[in-house]
Amino acid sequence: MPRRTDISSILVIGSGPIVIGQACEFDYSGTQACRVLREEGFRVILVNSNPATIMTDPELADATYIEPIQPEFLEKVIAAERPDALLATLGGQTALNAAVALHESGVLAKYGVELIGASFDAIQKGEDREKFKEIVQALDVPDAKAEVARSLICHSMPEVLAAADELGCPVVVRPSFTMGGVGSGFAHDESELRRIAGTGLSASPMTEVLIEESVLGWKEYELEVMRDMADNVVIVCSIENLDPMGVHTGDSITVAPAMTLTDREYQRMRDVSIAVIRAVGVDTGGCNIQFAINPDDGRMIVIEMNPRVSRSSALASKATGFPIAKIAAKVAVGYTLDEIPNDITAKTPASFEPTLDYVVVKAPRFAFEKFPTADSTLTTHMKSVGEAMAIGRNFTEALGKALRSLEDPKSTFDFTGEITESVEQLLTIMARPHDGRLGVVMKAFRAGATPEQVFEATKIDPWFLDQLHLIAEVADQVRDAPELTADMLRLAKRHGLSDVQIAKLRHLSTDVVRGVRWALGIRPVFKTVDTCAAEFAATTPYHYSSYDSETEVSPRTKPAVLILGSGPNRIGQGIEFDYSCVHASMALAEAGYETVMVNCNPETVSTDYDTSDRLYFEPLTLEDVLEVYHAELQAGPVAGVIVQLGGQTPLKLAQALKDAGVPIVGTSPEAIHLAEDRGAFGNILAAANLPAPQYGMAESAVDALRIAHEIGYPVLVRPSYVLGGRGMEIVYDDESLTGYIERATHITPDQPVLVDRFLDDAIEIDVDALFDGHDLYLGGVMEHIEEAGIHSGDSACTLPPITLGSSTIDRIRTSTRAIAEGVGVRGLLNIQFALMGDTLYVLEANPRASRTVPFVSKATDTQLAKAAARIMLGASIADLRAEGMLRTGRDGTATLHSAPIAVKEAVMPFNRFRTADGSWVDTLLGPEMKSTGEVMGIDVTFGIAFAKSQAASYGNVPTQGAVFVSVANRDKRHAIFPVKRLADLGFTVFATEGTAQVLRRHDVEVTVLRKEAQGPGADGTRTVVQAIMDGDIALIFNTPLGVSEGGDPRRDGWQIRSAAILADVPCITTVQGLSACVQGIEALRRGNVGVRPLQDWGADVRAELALLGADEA
Amino acid sequence: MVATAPHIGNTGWNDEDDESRRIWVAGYVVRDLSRVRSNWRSNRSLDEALSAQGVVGIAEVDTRALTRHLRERGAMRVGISTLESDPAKLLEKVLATPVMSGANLVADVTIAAAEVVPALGTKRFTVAAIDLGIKDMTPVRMAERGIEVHVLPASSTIEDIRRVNPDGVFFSNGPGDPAAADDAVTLLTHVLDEGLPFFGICFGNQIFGRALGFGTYKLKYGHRGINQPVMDLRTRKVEITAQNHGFAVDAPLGQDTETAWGVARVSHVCLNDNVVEGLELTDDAGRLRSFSVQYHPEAAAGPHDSAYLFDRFVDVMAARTAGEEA
Repeated sequence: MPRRTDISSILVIGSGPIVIGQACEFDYSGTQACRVLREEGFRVILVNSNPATIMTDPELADATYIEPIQPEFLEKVIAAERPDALLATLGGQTALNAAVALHESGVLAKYGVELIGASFDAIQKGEDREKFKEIVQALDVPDAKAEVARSLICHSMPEVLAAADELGCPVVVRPSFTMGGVGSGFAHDESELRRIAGTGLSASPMTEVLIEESVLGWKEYELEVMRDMADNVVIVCSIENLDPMGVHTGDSITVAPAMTLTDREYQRMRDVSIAVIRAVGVDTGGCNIQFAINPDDGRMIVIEMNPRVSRSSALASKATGFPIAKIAAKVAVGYTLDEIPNDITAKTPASFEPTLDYVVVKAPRFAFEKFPTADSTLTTHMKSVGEAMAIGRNFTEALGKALRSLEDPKSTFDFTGEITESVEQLLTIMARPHDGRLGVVMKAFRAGATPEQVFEATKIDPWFLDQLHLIAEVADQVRDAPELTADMLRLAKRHGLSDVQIAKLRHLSTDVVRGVRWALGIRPVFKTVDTCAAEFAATTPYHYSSYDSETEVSPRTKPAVLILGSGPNRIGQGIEFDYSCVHASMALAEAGYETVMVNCNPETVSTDYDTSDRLYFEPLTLEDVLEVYHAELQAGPVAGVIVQLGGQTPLKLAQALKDAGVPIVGTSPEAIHLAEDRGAFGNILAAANLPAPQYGMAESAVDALRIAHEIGYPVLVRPSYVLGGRGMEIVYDDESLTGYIERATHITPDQPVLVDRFLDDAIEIDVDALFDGHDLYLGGVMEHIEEAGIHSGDSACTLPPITLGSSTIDRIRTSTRAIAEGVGVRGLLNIQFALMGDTLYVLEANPRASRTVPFVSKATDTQLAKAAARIMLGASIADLRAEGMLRTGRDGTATLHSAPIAVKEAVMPFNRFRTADGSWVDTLLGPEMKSTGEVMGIDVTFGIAFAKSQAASYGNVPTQGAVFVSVANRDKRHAIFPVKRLADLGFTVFATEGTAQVLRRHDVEVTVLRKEAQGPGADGTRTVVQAIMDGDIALIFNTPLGVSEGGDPRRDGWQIRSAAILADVPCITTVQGLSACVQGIEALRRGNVGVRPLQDWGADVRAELALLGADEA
Repeated sequence: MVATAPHIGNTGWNDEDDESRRIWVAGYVVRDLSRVRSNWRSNRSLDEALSAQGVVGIAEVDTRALTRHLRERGAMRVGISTLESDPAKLLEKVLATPVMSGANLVADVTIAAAEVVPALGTKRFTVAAIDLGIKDMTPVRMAERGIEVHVLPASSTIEDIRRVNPDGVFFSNGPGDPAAADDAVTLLTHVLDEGLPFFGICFGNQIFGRALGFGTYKLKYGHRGINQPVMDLRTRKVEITAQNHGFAVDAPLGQDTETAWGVARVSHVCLNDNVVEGLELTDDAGRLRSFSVQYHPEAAAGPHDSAYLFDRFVDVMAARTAGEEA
């Protein structure tokens, strides 16, 4: 069946901000879908609130709405665009939930919008656990009994308790209609059950949880299934979890293809999968189905299905070369699988099942170091913030690559460290699934544990355990060999040992190991991901390294540019950097280069095989990058390697790469060092006469106190060389400074601690600029809404700045230029300034693409990363202006009547983390970055833009109801005005006693609520938490009384903020945030909040610029 | 046999999944041989199974490189030796072995005497199955549908078939060049003359092709694996099939061919390369009488998408019985 002709325009909904459980994979899927649908001639309308995505690039859709993914905004888009169809299966759970809401409210029917991909009915059947269970049980599959775990649906706590009685503990709690397993978990006893099910009931939009028999320790599998309108079904990929049932698949190490199934068992699973997708009625597109298998007798249970493209689909796409999202979009508009060509072979159709002649390992990346009090036990509730994937010709090789791709020194196997625990202790530690479990298994093997003992403790399949044991044996051989022979090196490399690991085992330097290895000619070959295990020739150069015999890299004539990506998502480094890398690839391909992407994050657009001319799915370590460079140098000329777009990951390789003879383009490694080294950078600032906050470099605890006394408290303290504010804190006195040094640093002269003056109450300013050695182009100036001291990644900001005058902008420009020249920047530069009184302090400069590049690019309709890539390869800003890539005569700070105000807001993962005793980790913002993603609100006025940003990140901004206020003394004066304004707008005001007194004096009518510590009053007065949990509070304004004290939860207000998370009530923790919010509420109450596509904003801005240019000419 | 999947032997060997009384490959080439076996049904390792039957195996080979070599140059003869260490001498030995084209290997693999696989449940039909190298799952799939299967040696005559009094005749898969299997072609011609419904798999499809007057030819490197897309031209549905054939039938696509027994046409085609994957024969009234496929609907190993073909065989036999009764 060819493409449908009865529809011509399609609305695509994205997944919004990056949160745990929904990351870049939906940028990958949305981008593929938009591309495909436009190629097919459809008018594509896109709604996504996340500006850091490729999919929201204006050229990817006909109308791109960066608006909140909320029913009222979606209805406005639908009313304006009148699409024929809605494709909601590629934007994660967010898009699916939005589609369900639009269906249920009748909006889709009202505007005649057809749901394509999965019908409302299919979504319900797939997501509603009770319906799904019935469907599976009713399946008629020959030879395969389709079973589900025994379970009961509950809508209240008494029902939950009764169900657990019937099934017997432990039981699994699964709330309906939540993503990433929010609110789910294992309950071993009644108190755990009450806690987990209580959360689950409130997390579920329909107050519904499923209580299920436990399949803990069973083998876990996932199949990716694709179906077309003619009912052709193929299995794209099988995935096996190394971690058995009990750990969320997003937190598990997973392997493709399945390693420990016989054909009989696999086919049974395949038959059931096909029967499920048919019975649920996912007409077209992809879905994934999860299974558990009892290792003792093979009993197979269907766990769940997602009637949409998922994180696993992204993994499966990258693992097989079968582009699930693209094919899903094609089948959604009517094509059958046999009509769609397989891009990789070019001559065979997509109606086949990929086969793998390699092993893929995905490993999760955690961020527990950011939330020191959070419980690191892995459960059915996803906690990882990113993932890395690696490909090898065997499991051991792929695992070694995956673990080093995580860029966490703790994640790679330590073969040499001292073992202080006994085997028994190690077995006990590994019995609890946690982020370092595999390392503990390795340690246990080193300590003499047997695979049988480890199996008893972990239930990890014996095959995987033997493979891990094999790695330990190889490490022993490397350590004990009298000589590091070619055969020994080859054996080590074939089982995934890195040069670093071999060096440690042999007490050599890594450089020596690499030198010996190269001298012996032991280098990896590069094989191809071709979907068909070499049955047909591949046309797409999608490569991975392996220590095998034949390489498949083909020669080329065009000069190549290697772009180093940003690796796994983590807090502080995410999709924003992938965006810049993808843009560089596009711009350089257009400029005539052969682009070569190196990255290891399966969720991203950069690791799509058609984003760059060549793709190397490789870890971003010195060893692996040097091998890719070597392979490409054999293939043809290499113009250079780009390290400044992928965040710290490639940046920290810059010097070593250059030392190894690799040409780094753009800002030199020496210049990068100038910006990162405090002393050198201080000299640049001094030379240019630019003020910076006083600081000192402390080499001991005594030193730190002396410097703090010189500078005066408060001071900002942090270890040198950090990303995302790791380990940063603001301290106000000697005691907390000493505490910090002890707790958070290993202070030595080699690892000094920086002590900076903290600028209280300063306005923080972020700048992204381009410099070509001659011209400076200010891409954008952003004013933070929160005061300095909140990490810039966690702070909301506005572009253009709303309180800065033109003289300040001029000073920013002059200062930026001076720094760019002083450092020697070629390409992008990000600077953070703080304006205090009339002094513009320079806080820090980063000579690389920043997190805000995509936001600035979207807000100013100028693609900075593309321009930066061109500058790095020698183009001048004047050239790029002439080409139209940059504004002529002006830059990103131009004051234009037609330009929008854009507000960026950060999205926090606090609802994901709990302490071991079950309470929430605190939600305070500080100098350490904690957000996982961001949204953009864009409109004519600041108030509406801010309100949109809040709606996009936290649901809606309340326009009426009750506000609860509790502020620290120092904030009380500033809080009076906005709170009074809320009262004037009709809000009921609740407050704690102290705050209430101040407000009453200013004629605000206040009801007092009791603090949690006080408990309910004798007269029945409720506590704050009770009022929040009763659903009587629409907005919470609570600033912290004390000072951030690392992971210590002894802070007033913490229970309030925890209750806010639990009850999903917006909670504002800064005065500036409240003021902005009040403006937003006022704007919303005036009504008529509109929606407008980026393309319209851009056209108006370009027209105005043209007019201004003509006037000046 | 060269496995493209790198890890082999992970689930070991069991006694439930065997498809024949012995291992027929002369050697097995893998990249990573599993050191342990992990499966609740397993009772010995792959290595033990190969050793017990004297089949040589070789591991740590770049099997992807080998596969690409075979793809570009075509299937070829091979030698694995633990004794001869001089490659040139080994090559000489390999080149001295007979080529596959023109080889008649049926006699080596067929059973010595007839065997009966009883129907499961109520018996509905009797089928004579000529063993040209039959897999155990094939009679099982028929038995599940109420068919009593008489597995007969390849040397059987039409009289032997008649003696079973079958409702239909089946020709199995098997090794060798179909162009050399004249006896089987002759036998099938007699079966068709008798008007018996016929179903053939793999080698049986090639024999059917020859009986219908089509030629066969050797593919460069054949169709191998459990992921081959085939379209049933009757329903336009795509099925994922298990395949293992080095030869194929040369018949025109989308065109009817008149034969002594009715109209023959291509019924199934491989979507990767348009190779003929199935043939059918309809009578004057357009009713399906006989058919065959080049791939493995019994699917062990492989996907079960094509199991409907056994139902189709039952339907053909049922229609004939009904026709006779009417």
